[in-house]
Amino acid sequence: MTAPQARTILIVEDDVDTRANLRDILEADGYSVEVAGSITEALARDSWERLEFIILDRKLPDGNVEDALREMRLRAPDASTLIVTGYTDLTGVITALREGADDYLLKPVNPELLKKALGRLWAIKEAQRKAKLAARLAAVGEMVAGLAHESRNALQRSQACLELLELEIADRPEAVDLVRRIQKAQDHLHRLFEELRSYVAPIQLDRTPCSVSELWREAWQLLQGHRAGRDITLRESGELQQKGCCCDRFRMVQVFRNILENALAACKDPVVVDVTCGNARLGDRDAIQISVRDNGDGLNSEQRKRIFEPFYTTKTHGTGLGMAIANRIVESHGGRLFLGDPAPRDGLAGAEIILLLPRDDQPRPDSVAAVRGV
Amino acid sequence: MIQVLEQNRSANRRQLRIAIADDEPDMRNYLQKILPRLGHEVVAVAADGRELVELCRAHRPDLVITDERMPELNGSDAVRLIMEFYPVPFIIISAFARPQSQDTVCGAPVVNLVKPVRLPDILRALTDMQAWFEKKSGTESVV
Repeated sequence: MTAPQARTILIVEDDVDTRANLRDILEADGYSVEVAGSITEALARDSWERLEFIILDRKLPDGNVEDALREMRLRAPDASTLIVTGYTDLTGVITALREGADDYLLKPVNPELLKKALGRLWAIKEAQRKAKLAARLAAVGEMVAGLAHESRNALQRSQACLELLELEIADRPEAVDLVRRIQKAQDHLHRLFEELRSYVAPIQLDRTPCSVSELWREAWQLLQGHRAGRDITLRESGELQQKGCCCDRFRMVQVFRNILENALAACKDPVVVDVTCGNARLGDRDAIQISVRDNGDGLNSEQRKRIFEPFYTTKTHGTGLGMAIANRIVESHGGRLFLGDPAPRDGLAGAEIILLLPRDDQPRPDSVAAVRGV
Repeated sequence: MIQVLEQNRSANRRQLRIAIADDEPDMRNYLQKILPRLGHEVVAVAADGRELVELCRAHRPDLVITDERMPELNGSDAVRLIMEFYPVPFIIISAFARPQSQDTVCGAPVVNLVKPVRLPDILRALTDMQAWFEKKSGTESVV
């Protein structure tokens, strides 16, 4: 996971000391702070879409906050607003909340309470963002699953005609060659649709106890075709014999395959791929950590930000779903997939992908159901 | 393609009388042309499930190859109706995402293929069917 970008806050406060004080507190906490001394000054600024929070003094020289709140919320619909007010101003607080303010603080502002309020608002925003994304993905997913399904009928007709055509023109090698090219393109289209479908379809796990080193070795084996004729070393270190991970073998091999395939594609010969395995914690549980690092050039900031996004690819023939699918599989195992530190380690400057899997010796109840096909 | 066909011809297996059903003219045309080249006879061609049931009643084919989603009556419902008057093996071609599997209905094999199927898929299913027929006639002649 990459470090969050500094969150931007706009403070609208006419009292110079309070303003400076708030700015110090928030900047010390890593926020990027902008200030305005009046409603007019605040509304005169641009780039509202960058704002995550707006802190407003209830009484400003050119009007009350509720006068400006509606306009500010229009300009920065995603920003949370926090009203700062005095003890006696209950009516003002109620009005501001009715106008869409998210929370309020009493003067003089207690730095701890302010941080807590911002943390709470941030958590709400994150939850809303996630819910929005999930709803959008679900809608898109349903559509894509339908599309992939329907495409099979069209591909079937095309396939039937192509095979007949190939028989018709069997005595014309150039024409046969063209048919084979169409076949290849059609196979690519088919693969794309099926990958899309597997990305959006619900994942049902068939868990069995595995040792993680077996998983990446099996994936490495599957990549034989990609490795042929190249100078490639797989370096393994850490506690390789450890068992204690209960997962869907087929799907986890797919995860390692996608990670290792990316590593091979990113590096020039001689390639070194390092897999290190160790113990870690994941929330309140024991976990196994597997880190995969290569000796490529590493990821740039754009790639670091977008690597787990569906359809993001730097390969010419990739579908851009490999890491997105891997992430989904790992999350469905209760694990986490994220990027390691970009700084070189053990002489390797390439990308590092870290996988955390909860330690599990027995299949959990959910997996028993999956095995039974319930 | 050509090699696949030639290899199959040299295998010289039992010839099957086959009924086909699909609402897509492209697929009917394909099966009508490809199956004779694989050494089989197409004895009935239906465009929906209802028609398939009637044609099977009249022609009693050895094997049925049918699409799943068709107007009037779908493939698996047609299977159920036909099985009521005689057990016949089926190859069902469908766009549904279930894995390729083989079941038995009334003692006859039912093979599910997922679209888009290619000639080798059909060939494999036909070979399985022929094996079933050979095993069956072997058992019958012993009895």
